[in-house]
Amino acid sequence: MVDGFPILSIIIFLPLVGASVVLITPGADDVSSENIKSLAVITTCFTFIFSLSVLFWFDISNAGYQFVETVAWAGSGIQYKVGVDGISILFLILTTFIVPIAVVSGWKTIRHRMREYIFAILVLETTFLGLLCAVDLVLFFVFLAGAIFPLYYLIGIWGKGNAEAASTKLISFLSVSAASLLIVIVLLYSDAGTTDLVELKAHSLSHTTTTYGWPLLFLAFCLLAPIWPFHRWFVDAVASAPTSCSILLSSLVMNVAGYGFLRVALPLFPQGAIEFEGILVGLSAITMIVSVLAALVEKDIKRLIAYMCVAHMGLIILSIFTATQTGVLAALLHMVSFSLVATGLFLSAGLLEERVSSTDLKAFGGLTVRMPLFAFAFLIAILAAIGVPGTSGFVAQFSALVAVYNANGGIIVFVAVLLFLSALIGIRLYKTVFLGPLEKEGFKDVADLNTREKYALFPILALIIFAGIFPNSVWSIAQTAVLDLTERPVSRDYSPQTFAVPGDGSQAVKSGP
Amino acid sequence: MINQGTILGSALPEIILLVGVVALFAFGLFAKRVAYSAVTGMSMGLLLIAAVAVVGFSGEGTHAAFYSSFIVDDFSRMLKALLLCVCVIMILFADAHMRLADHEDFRTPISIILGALGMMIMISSHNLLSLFIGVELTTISLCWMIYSSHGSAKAAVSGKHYVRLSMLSSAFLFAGILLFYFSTSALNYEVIHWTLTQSDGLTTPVLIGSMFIVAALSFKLCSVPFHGGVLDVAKGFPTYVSAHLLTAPVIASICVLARLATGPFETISSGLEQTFLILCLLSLLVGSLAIFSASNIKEFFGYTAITHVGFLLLGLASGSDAGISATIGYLVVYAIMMIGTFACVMATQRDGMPVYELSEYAGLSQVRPVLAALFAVLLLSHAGLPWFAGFFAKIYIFIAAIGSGHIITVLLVSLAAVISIHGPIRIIKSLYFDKPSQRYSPVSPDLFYVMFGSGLFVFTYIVFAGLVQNVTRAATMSLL
Repeated sequence: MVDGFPILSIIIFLPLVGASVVLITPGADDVSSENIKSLAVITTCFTFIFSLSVLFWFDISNAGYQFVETVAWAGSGIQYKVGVDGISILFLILTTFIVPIAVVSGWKTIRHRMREYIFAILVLETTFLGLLCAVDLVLFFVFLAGAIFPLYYLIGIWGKGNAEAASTKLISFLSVSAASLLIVIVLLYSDAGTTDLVELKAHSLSHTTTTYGWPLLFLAFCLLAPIWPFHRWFVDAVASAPTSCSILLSSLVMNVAGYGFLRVALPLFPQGAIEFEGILVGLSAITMIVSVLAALVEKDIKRLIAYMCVAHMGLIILSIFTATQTGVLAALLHMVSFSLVATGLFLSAGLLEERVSSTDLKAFGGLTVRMPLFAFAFLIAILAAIGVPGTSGFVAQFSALVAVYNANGGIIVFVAVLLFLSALIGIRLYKTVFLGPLEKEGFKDVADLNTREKYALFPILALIIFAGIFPNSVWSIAQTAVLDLTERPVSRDYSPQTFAVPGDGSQAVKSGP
Repeated sequence: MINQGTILGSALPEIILLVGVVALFAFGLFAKRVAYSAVTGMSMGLLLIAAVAVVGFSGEGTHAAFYSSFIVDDFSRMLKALLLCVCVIMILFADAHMRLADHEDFRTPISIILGALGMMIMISSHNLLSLFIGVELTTISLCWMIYSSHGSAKAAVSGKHYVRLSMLSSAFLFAGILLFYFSTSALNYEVIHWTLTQSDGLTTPVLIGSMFIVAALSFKLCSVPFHGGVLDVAKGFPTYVSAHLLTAPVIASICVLARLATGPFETISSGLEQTFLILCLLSLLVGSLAIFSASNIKEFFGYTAITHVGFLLLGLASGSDAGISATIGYLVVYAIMMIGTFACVMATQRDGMPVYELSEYAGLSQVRPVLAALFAVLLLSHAGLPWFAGFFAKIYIFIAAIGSGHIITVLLVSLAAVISIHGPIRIIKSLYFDKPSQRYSPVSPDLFYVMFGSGLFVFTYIVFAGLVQNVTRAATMSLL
């Protein structure tokens, strides 16, 4: 790639340009709404292609940030600085891959105010891409908090059921999360005089910053993740959101939390993970068990999938905070895999909702007869969620299990319960919807997947299988960056190291066995 | 010692305004039929000429006149220019209102100019007496404006209430000045500062005197617990009165407080800091909670303004140059946001009549999409959501406050800020989520330009946030 070509800025802001064009597209009839939809698909697909070009020129042996662009921006050392490393490029491509699918998912169900709908989704894509590429914390925050309002807007206007309450809940939780993150950033800034992640990583933080910073940061990402007891907003939002928004929430917002832990929490507060180990493990375990039990008794498909997402997020957080190379790599694969699975499952839920306008489990049964292709596609997604070999879910869950076991043997019991119960839930879900006799009157003439739905669903399934057979393709991209991340003092399973307590040079703490 | 400048070289804008306002008043009295429209046009011209004089013809660097009681520096130039621009828009608002209400009174633009003159003197004051003159001139012109604006009968009571509170604030100010004079035998800021640094500084009369002065200015600032008068007036009187009361005096009072805090009060900064912090926390607490009880849009923005004043005071409480600079930046953003917001409020009309009830804004986005979008952008900026100017203003305040070690305060403030997000969100919800229930009149072009300019500023601030910060930093440096 030519040096100095602002490829990342183009990727970040291309959806925003598309959104502006959508805003000025004339007309308010069906033709213009078709045009807007095509425009959205073209924009998001081009963004995807551009992000692939980044992958093409990406140097996997380099642990630092690549394609870095720096522009002086908000004064006082706060810069517009973007770049990607092995971790962020994974999420970058995942995001650009999922957003076109999310756009297509609302093709038929969204009937009014198409212009605003597409506008919100494209703005949302810009914010997600921006925060994944941001190397400056203020920039990261601007994009992160910029995503809150489009989400609120999407759920509030196009949501179903109790959408107003759900959107209010979303904005309440996320604004608390954003505020605490902001305070952490300001603390870091007043301590180190910069918000550049690279420089912050090299700076040893003062005692005050770590005392206040780590709990606030932890709170911010737990609210976002969502970790029990903060998971209700997520389930409510996902359940009442339109399909596209459910996809974005479950795959991208959750990833953002995991990404935030990897990008900000681990490198800047290595002490925190150790000091908070008990709380972390406890909260993650409770999250896993509580949400998987909730999923077990849930009657609504979308809520059920949402609870599954939360449960697996518990496992992801657990494996991230083993702070080992295996753990982080497993978490990365798990995030990628579960994003794909959640996208596939929510897309399927949306398809079902389109056909019967209900997401209640009782409304379904025996659909295999009428929709064999769809049943097959759904089966693959469910198998990946359960973690059957051959799908990405298996490798992800197995490696997470290994990493968690190495770090903390006892907790494995909870993970085992999670995996067992989620298998049970997946099979039950599939059985209720697709197996048994086709009794319901409304299903007698229901159609199988049409071309649009095939185009949306099959690439996800292909990727799920691909990542299941070649997990190394994901790992090799991230490996160098993860090694760089985990080689910092926190690594506990390799070599015992000594490191200084930040802000107190005299004292040294021994870690490791 | 400050360089002495000539009277004409330092106070040219004020002299232009003074001569102009007298001439305009005489013209208005004699030119019967054309009086209103001519005076309105010429008033705006006069204010713009004064703004040009402030920027271009008030000398270089820092210098003083009138025996050091009047100072001109980069800080005063920047904020006077801002103030004059705000006043021009206020005349525009008054004009829009009065043409609609068919109550054309040429005295209103004149009262706004007089107020601008008073506030310019406040910004430039370098002597407690010139401060008093400025404050009094401002108070008188504001009261005049309120009385000549013909609010509702119920509002007339709150008008009287405001006038009484203004008198109380003048008494406070006078008491504070007296206490300072008795303990330091001086009125000039520089001399007070010198005297206080010679003695041990923190004597009881000085401390109480400074409290009195801060309290007097808090009436103009509408910070809690001195917010009652302004809020009552904001609710009952025409929109331009509310807009004027919530912007121009706030700018002037913050400037005075900044100048006092960096000058004569520097030696008692610890006591002053506590006062600012208490006022800040009270304002944020009341502003962010009471906003939920507001059903009238002007009352709503009154409480929003109180929340913003809390942030401004937090910036001042930080005391550092970063704090003052952040406060000035916040002031610029605040003024422009408020102008745009009130333009939106004035432009939302049903059958030619402005609507004030929050419930009447339902579904505006379906009927007037551009107006609703600008309104939403401004509201999001009020809420401090990123991308918009309000966020950047707040983050610099936070940086300054944490830099001065007020971590717990910042935690409380951000909690209040999080709560207060729901206020603007509530309006956006009714703008966008609800079904339109009524017909909205088209937006008049002059109001549209104001709100568009303001919305554009708020929206694109993300690009030039650094530039604004450089300007405010330069202004701060001239103050120290």
